[in-house]
Amino acid sequence: MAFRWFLIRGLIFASPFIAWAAAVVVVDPFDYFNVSHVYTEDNKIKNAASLNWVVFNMLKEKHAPSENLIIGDSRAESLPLDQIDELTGQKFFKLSANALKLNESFDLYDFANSIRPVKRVVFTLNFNEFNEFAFADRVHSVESLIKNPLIYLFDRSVAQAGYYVVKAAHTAKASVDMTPPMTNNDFWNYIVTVRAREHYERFRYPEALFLRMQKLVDQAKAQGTEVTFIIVPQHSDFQKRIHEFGLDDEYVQFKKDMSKLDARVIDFDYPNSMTTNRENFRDPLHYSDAFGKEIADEVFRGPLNHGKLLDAAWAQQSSQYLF
Amino acid sequence: MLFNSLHYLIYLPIVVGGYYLCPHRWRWLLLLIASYYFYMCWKAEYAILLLISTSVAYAAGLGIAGTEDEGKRKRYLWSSLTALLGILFTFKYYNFVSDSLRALLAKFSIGITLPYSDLLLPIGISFYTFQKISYIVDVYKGEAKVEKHFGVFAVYSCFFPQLVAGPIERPKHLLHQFYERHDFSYENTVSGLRQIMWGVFKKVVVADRVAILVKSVYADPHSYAGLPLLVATVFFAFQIYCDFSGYTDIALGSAKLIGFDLMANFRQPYFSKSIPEFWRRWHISLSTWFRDYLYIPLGGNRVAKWRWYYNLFITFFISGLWHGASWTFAAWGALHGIYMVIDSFVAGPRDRLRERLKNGFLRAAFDGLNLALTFALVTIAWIPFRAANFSDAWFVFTHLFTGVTHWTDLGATSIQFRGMGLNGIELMLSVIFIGIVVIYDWFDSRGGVWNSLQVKPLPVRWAFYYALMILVLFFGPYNQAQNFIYFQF
Repeated sequence: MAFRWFLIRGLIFASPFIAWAAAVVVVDPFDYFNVSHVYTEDNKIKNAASLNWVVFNMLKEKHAPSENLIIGDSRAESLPLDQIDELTGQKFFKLSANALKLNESFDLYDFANSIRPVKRVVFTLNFNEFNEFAFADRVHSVESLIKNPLIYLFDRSVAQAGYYVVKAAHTAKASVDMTPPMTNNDFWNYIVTVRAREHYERFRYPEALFLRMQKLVDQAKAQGTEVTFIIVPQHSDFQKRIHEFGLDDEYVQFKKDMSKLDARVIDFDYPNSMTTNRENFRDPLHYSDAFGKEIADEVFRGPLNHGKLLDAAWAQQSSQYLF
Repeated sequence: MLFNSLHYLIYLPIVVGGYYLCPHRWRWLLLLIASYYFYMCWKAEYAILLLISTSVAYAAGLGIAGTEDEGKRKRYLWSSLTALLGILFTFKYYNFVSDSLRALLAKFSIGITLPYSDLLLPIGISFYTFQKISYIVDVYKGEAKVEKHFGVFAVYSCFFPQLVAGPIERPKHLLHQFYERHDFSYENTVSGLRQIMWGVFKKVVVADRVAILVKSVYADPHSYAGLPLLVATVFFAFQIYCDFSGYTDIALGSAKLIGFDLMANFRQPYFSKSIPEFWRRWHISLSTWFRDYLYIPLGGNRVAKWRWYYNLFITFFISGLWHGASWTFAAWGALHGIYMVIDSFVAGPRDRLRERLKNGFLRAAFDGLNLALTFALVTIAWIPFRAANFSDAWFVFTHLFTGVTHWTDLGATSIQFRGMGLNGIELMLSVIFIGIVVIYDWFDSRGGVWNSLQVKPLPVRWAFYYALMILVLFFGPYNQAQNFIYFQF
């Protein structure tokens, strides 16, 4: 009798959680279960993915593994996928995410490679990520989430994304607005002052990360994977900050180390007519879509014009580019 | 198998269901199988060691109880203790002793080569060894009855809720419970589930969250100075408390589901107003074990003063080494030993001063001051406990307040915390959750949270349970789950 009473009460108590789990399966903001299509892909991209691109893209990669990848932070977003597919004749997938750290880029590569061997990978990076303190561990967290559906069902970011997806579907407008709450000019200054300080005030050269990068390149080569690194451009206002934070030596070392990699490394991040022109940038860190097209054209079709093949000689010249 | 894993979530209901469905006379067998399965989930080979130590303790008990010849009884006692401590030494301390010996002799330019043992440390070995020692000694002293049923003794030696990290039970408290008939009880089950849920909250929501920052900082403390070191050190004080007391709550709750009552291991230790009081509230089963089987046999406080101080110091020093085969753990124990000796000088004047304070506010302020001082001393002692080596520990200790004048510069402060794995919101949540634990403990020290909740109407009780469930389900960093700290001991 006591046991039956316990079971009845237990079921009543648990029912809201069961209902919640069912709701998450139906809304499925990140297409985890991929069984319910009540809400559109477009809605999920605008309202769920933009909250957590790491989860969204990793799940996408898990459901439909791609053998050609572009991996990087938000700056990889401005590389035009259609144009790249057309130029290479291969289907690429952007395994990118906002504020992705370099260690996470490599984690993402390992994740994708464990699902399906990668044939071609393009990493986008910049010196501002090349910092031991620029570390995050979201990829392993998402791997745990992928392995355990219970984590997904009761995850706060999934709950938030689900709410946004449902809200957007019923109000017919995007729930997530990524526009900065200030004028373009103020935002530009904010990036150059506040964000630059975050990137460069606390800096340590990431020796272990570079060793990992070398190992990754060697292993990729051994399995026949073509690896390319694009050092993406920043506006010269942001480039100047490297010198102002006293990181000249580290910057030169970064270029020298990158030139030692047994991979194609193309450098767009040096002062030139493109990087000194504000028209080519949305903000000091993010190049425009038009500039992205040019980068894609130079990298995937050639010849290189603004991009420079990073070899020992080009790396040697890096010190001259500092302001 | 971790208590905070999906595996345990499936395992526990099966064991509990099976226990009540099983006839009473076979329940010991079910628990034995379940406990060995639980243990073998880590490394199946470890079970052989567990079985050997169980057999040694069982045989010793029979031997001691089976003869009145004092010489023989002593031989059984010492040979079994030597065997159990020998196993512990071989698996836990051999490399530590040989490394220390090698380093010591190297100082005198004497080079020796000692073989290195690559034996893995069996999980929970310190706990189950101490539990068996207490059984043998209690049987020898006539304070516990010998257990003749090998199966029941084996379950007592490996009872899954307390096998890997205690509480270190005594035969008088636990053994007889395996013979008692436990019927399903609604109140017991609800009470057990509540305790499990609170334990999971402390472990997963609090300890595992703050562990992310603590791990980052203590992995490379020389990269930090000032606030991050201070925050990491204070966080560690709460991490280890929530981790271990969380584990204990899950253990006690799990045992309660099948009608067993395990001993309490924590009583709001951070509300202690002196170090001796702290040790009466922290890891009670271990501190009472050391009191009964080491401190009192050494003479306790019924000896000359110098000898008493020595007894206090050596007990805590060995307690430090019990935690881990490293001089940093020994330093932690030694620090507490020194604290205890100092307290023996100041306890009298402190108590007299408190008695003289008639004003309620002044007395409360005095208590608050002692509480803060005790917490600070305990937290400082955690530094060598957590640090990888003495160099790191010293660096942390000497840089806790570096740049204190700049702590109000929020921009610079937030940059200091960059790359530690917890963003601003997570950091704030950590502080809030620590606050919840402190408030809970405060209420618990005044009559018990669950007891006062028990008399409230059902909607109030359920609202509380739902709030706890929501915190556990949505605020636990399950994707970064950490092992229980005390599993390594």
